[in-house]
Formats: sequence, C-alpha cells, structure tokens
Amino acid sequence: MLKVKDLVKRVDNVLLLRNINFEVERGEVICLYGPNGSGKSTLLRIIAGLERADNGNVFFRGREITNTSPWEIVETGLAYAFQIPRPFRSMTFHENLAVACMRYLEAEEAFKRAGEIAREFDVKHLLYRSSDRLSQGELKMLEILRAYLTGAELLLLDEPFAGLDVENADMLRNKLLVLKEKGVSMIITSHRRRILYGIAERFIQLKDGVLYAEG
Amino acid sequence: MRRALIEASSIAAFGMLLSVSPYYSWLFVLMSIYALLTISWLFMKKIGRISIGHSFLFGFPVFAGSAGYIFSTELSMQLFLAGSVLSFFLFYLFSELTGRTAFVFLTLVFSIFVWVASPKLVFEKEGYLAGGEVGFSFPTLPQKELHITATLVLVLIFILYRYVERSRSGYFMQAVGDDETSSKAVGINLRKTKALSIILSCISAWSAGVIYGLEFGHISPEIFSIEISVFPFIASLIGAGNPLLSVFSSFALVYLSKILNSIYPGLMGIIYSVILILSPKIGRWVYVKGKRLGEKS
Repeated sequence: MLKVKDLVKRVDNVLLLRNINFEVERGEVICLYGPNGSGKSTLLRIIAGLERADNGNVFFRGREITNTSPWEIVETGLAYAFQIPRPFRSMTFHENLAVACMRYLEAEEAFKRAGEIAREFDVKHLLYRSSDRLSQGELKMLEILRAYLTGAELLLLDEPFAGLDVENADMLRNKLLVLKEKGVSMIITSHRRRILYGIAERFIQLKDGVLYAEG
Repeated sequence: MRRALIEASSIAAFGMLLSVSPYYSWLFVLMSIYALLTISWLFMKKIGRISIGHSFLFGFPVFAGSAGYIFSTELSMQLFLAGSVLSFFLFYLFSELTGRTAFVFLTLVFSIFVWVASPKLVFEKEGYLAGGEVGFSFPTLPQKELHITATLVLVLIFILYRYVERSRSGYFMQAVGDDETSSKAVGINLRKTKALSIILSCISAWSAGVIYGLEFGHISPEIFSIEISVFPFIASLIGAGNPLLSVFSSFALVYLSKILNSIYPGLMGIIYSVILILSPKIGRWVYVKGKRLGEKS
C-alpha cells in the first residue's frame, strides 16, 4: 500500500533521515518509535506532503506521491494528524469534523456524516462545543477523527499519546482499536512502545535518522 | 437561506425607507457603496487576509474605465475589464507571496502608492487636459434608477455572502482563515480557496466602484484615499464581523461622517484614527463576545 524508498532529508547540511526504506501493507498498523529528534515526525510530514524530501521516493497504491501537494495526497487516501492538535479555532467540534468530509460530500451531508462518526466514537456530547474549550484528550480525538473523515485508508498519527494522562491514553487506545477493526492502516509514532502493544503489528525503530530495527 | 432572505429584506426595507427624499436617496446609494466595500472586505477576511488597501480593488477598475471614457465608451469598458483583472491578480499574488501580517502592510503601502501616483496621470484630447488631481468624468444614472440598482446589487451580494458562508467553499475559506497548515492536512486546495475568496471580494468591490462612478459622475484620485481603505475594517470591527451588523454599521458610519464633517471637516478621520489605535483591544473584546454569543452549548 505504502512504499518508502531511499528517503533522505537534510536540514542545514545535517542529515535528518538517511536512506529510509519500509513498506506498509493494507490494514497493517505500524509503530514508529524512537527518542526525540530521531526524525519520526519529519518522516511522517514528508509522506503527508507537508515537508519536502531531498532524495528518495514515496509510493502510495502504486502512485508516486513524493513532494506532491498535501491536498493531492489526501485525495489518494492518506491523511496526517498533528502531534500538537491544530483544530480550526473558530469552529465547533462538529464543524471541524464536517470540514474534513466536505472534500467529497456537500455541506449538509458532511454534517450528517460527522454526526454519525461522533456517535460511533462516543464523542457526541462534544459536537457543539467550541474547539478552544476542548481538553487535550478531546483535541487529540478531534485530530484523529478529522484525519479519518477525509476518507483516509492510511492514517499517519504523530505522537497521539504525547501529553495524555493514563485515562485519556487508554480512551484513545480503544478508539484506535476501533479504527483498526474498520481496516484502516496506520503509522503511529511514539516514544513508548508498550502503549501500542495489541494495536501495532510491527515496530520500527528510528534513531538519529536511521531505521535500525524492524520486527 | 431563510435567515439570509430575512436579513436581505431588512436591508431592502431600509433602502425603501430612505427613498422618500432625493437627499436621503442619494445618501442611501452612498451607504450601499460603502456596505458593498465592507462585504468585499469580509470575503477576503474569511481566508484570514486583512486588507488595508481595499480602495485599490474598489477604485482601480472604475478609475481606469473613467480614464478611457475620455476617448470612447468601448475603450472605457476595455480598461475597466483590464483594471478588474489586474486588481484581482495583484491581490491574489499578494496573498500567495505574503503571510497574514505582511499582507496587511503590503496592501496598505500599495494603496498609498496608488493614491499618491494616480494624480500624475494626465491625458490631452483636442487641446483639453483631463486627469491629474481633478480626475475623469464618468456617465451617470438618474437618481431613482441608481437607488434601485444600488439596493438590488447590495441585496444580491449580501445573499451571495450568506450563501457562500454556509456552503462547502465557505467552510473551506473559514478553515484556511483559521489555519492554513491544518487546512492542507484535511485536503483543502489552498490556491483554489484563496482565489475564490478574492474573486468574490473583487466582484463586490468592483460593483461598489461602478455605483460610485454612476453616483458622482466623476472619478478623482481621492477614490484611493486611506479613509476609503480603512473604512471596511472599521465597519466590520463595529459590526463584530457579523455581515448584517457590518452592513448596518457601514450605513451608520456614512451617516455619521456626513454629520460630523459638516461640523468640523476631518473629524471623522480623527475618529477613524482613534478606532484604529484601539482596534487590537476592541478586536479582542469583540472576539470574546462573539465567541460567547456563537457558543451553542
């Protein structure tokens, strides 16, 4: 489904990513772990088109998407959720979700679909809340659901558990399991591997921009 | 849509109310021009771009058209169209090349440049000079027809604004205005969304410019004045960003400027300056109030 080939990223002559190679199969969940500054977020942002690669290629469903504009990448079925949630501040939870479906649905239908997903993921009570009155856990949930609602088949989740307490992390873990059951592929970055046991099928370590272990 | 129609009816009813005397009819046309300018500004604000150079969008096509009118009606039309395309293209380019803060300053500096440079444009035809500080003449319409035209255009543009606001494109514009990076991540085509917002803003500003020309029968470089540039910003600030309130605050500001300028010329300019200085504080207050009013639960 996704193939990353010899990916290189340099910033000010420092190599952030060195010849990264890996593949993701349909329905597979991968945990990308490593210390801070190892290049996890940069790798996800390059795949999502939010940063440019200096060398190498990214293929999604057989189509090359290297350095393509982010909106075109979303159209192929790949979406990214930020580590620090970036909701649309002037909108409610409901509007934030609906905007994500508006790429393929008219406004009225998009609101219906957003409402259905909110019910399914047990966040219906948040629908009419303004996005600047959401807790960190709720914002993370919004970020992930918004990415899912773009129609994504592969989600790139950047540190979804960062900054969450145990209770919220458990809640989020359960929601990710629901997404997995729906057949959504995911690449999830995390410092902590343990939290992704039972969700991820493969664990890839990234250290100093080098892919060290896969298994 | 029902709400938009009710609001538009209130604008039309106000217009009808002011058709009672020639002076008030003239005043309403002037109010409509400035209200259209405010709606134009609000369209651009949707994508997070605050323009302090709206006098250029408003004045340039009609200024170019009036310059061509000295020679022929056809040339006037051609120059109006060329001016429209150029004004759209320049503002689109500004929005692509600059961030939010730089856009504010670039539009301001650019409109001041055009304001200063436009009196240098002088033409000679059959021994007569036209242009300079005096400007160019423009055809006029009888007051009654102009009143009806201004009311219709304002009502239609207002309904268009309300319609776009609740459409897919409107939500995309709002999303881009909130966070461009986040918009990209949910698959919004930034260029297309910005272009749509600016073209809608231009349509509203161009219509205001044409009605201005038809009302005064004359276009001088004062059409690019800084007072016209800051007007929509102040009107929308008073109207708390709400389109209907912003239209009515435009009406009120025009009426107030007529009264105050008859007491002491330039007084309105002082009031605008004070509002501009206080605008960050007023803006925050309006934002907080607006949020509280808009909260659904």
